[in-house]
Amino acid sequence: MEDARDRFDQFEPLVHEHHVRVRACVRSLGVDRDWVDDVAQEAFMEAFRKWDSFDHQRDFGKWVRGIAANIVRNEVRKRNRRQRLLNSDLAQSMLTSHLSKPEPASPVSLEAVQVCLAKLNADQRALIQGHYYDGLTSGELSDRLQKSAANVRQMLVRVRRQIRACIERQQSKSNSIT
Amino acid sequence: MKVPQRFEELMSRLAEGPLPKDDSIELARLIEQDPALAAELRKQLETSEMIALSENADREGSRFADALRHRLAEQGRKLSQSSEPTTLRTGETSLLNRYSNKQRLIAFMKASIALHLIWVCIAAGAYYVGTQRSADRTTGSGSDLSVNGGLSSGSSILGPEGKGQRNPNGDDQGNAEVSAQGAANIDFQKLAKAATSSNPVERTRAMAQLLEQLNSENAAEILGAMHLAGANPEQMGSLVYAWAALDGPAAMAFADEMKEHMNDEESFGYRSQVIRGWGSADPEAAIAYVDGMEEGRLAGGLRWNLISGLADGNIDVATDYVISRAEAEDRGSWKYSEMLTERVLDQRDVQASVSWADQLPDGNVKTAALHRVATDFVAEDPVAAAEWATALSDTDHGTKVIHEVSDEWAERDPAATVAWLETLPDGDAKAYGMSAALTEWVKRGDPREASEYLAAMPASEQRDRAVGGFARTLSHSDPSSAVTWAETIADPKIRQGALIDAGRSWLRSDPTAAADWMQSGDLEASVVEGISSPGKGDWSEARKR
Repeated sequence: MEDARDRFDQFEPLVHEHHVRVRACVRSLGVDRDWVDDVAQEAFMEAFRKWDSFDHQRDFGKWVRGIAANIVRNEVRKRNRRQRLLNSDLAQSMLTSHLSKPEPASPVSLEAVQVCLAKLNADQRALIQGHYYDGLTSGELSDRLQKSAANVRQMLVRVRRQIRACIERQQSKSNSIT
Repeated sequence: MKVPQRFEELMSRLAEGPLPKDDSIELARLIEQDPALAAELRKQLETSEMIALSENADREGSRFADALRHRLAEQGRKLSQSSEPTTLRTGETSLLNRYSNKQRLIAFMKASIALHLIWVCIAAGAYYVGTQRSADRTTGSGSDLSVNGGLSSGSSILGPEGKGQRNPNGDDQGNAEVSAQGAANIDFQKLAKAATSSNPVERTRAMAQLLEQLNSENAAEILGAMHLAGANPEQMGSLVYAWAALDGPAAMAFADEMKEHMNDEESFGYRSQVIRGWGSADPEAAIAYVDGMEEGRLAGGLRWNLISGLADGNIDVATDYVISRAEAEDRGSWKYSEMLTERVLDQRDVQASVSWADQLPDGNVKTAALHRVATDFVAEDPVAAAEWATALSDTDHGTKVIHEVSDEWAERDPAATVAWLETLPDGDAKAYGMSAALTEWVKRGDPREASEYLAAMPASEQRDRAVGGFARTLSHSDPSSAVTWAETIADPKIRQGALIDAGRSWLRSDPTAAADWMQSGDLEASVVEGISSPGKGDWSEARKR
């Protein structure tokens, strides 16, 4: 038991370093938001179990995300146990999309997200604050912003798109530096 | 890239929460038609998750790592006690530990709750309050509680700062301090130690004694003692449930007493378990409590657990309540019904569950229940399920039930499913069922079998719809054959839709061949335009097709 605890103490910094990317990846594969952490934790558990066989020259984050993708793939196959997926066909499409395109050399970092969030204008920041940090639904935000809920959702889509584009620019800069 | 408007709308809703099943299917279909949309959706969801986690990534990381550590420890414990059955479900730990802001709390509320790591804080606080009460009774002052300091640094079941310090033997420093609290709770210490021992007989017997002795006066002390002894979350949850069943108002009031020791999510987890226990024993009062709350996320989340508790006590009471919520136009009534149906299936056999669903009044609750029981009915006896679904074919629920039966049965025997569907009267139910069955046939069986079946079908609207669905599915793997099939459809609208779908796939996979075909002059201009302008696709039109 002590050994396992010590091993986890060594493993834990990797969890802190990679949990955001793994959770984001799991969500992007069509897993229900309520179950994202469950699947991501399973991936880390599997990585922990296989830690001794892991080639430490490899990219750990990519390895865990690969394990997570396998878990989702198995979930898609288990037709009678698909409650963790939003929709099995949808998840299959997302999985295919994920596997068909190699990850960029410089993966999305939380720092890049934070840099890009800081670049938003005041209205956009208020939108992100209200939705993500204050937990307001688009319906609730619609009262505050005097817009329809559908408009608010569209605004959120556009802001996320803007943030994503900014992140990709950050990645591209990072790649050109390295 | 240009994104179809309907896709954009569904994507925006999906980023906020799960879509109803029909919308999920529609979204999946849109992506099937244009796989490039999957990348767009992935980016939106990935970015959304990262934004959500960016607020306090360190704290989130700690929560995540703690939950992971706990699950690994739990797994190790289960392996070492493999003879002990456990009812813990995968996922509960993380569900209770991932939510650091309100948005996540909303998601959390949607989940079926059992108590896990929240006991890390709750039990510590419970012990504090419990010992304070005990000390008040003994000394009349309640001061000088050395245990408070001892617990405040070790308030995690995983030890200080989440590191693994769990002591299943209960003979740790905290326990020694507890002993100093006097004889008032010494029996609970012993029982708690026995309830967490490695001997399953001793453990079960002690837990039964604790549950038997538990009352409003000693509940907090028992919870604290169990925490210090290393009780698992399931045991802690059982004790709270039992307390609430005995005295729901007192157990609920304890949440207010404990508010300084619990954050929002912990408070919600505790209240959820209370309302379950309360609802199981005194449904009227528990319902009045929840319905008397200001409507919002907390009330909605507790209502979910209330229904679960009502179902523990009496399915009929739970059913009446869910129906009343639907009548009150509660937006959660579909999900309440799905959850209630799960509970019915847990408690009754499939036939009895089907009978229960059949007798529900028409509306959302019934449709959701029939849809859910259909899945289990098909798994148990597909032929009987098909007969039952046939009888429903002319009802409002028929389409969903027949679609579900077709979808599930076709996974195992697509030919039999199609043969059954042929016996149904023409209509939406049959058309959707046939489409589902043929899709499964192509995906999981041999497309040649499906094509032979279609080739033998007499010309009819049913045949055209079936070929349309078949061509749409085939277009992903063999778009040129899909085009050939689509050309055999007699109905102009169905044919045009199928040709556009297949043509788009072909254009992506083999642009040269597809362009030759499009320029052959045999195609209607509207089809060529539809293939060339995928961004203008209108799902509502596609559905009409």
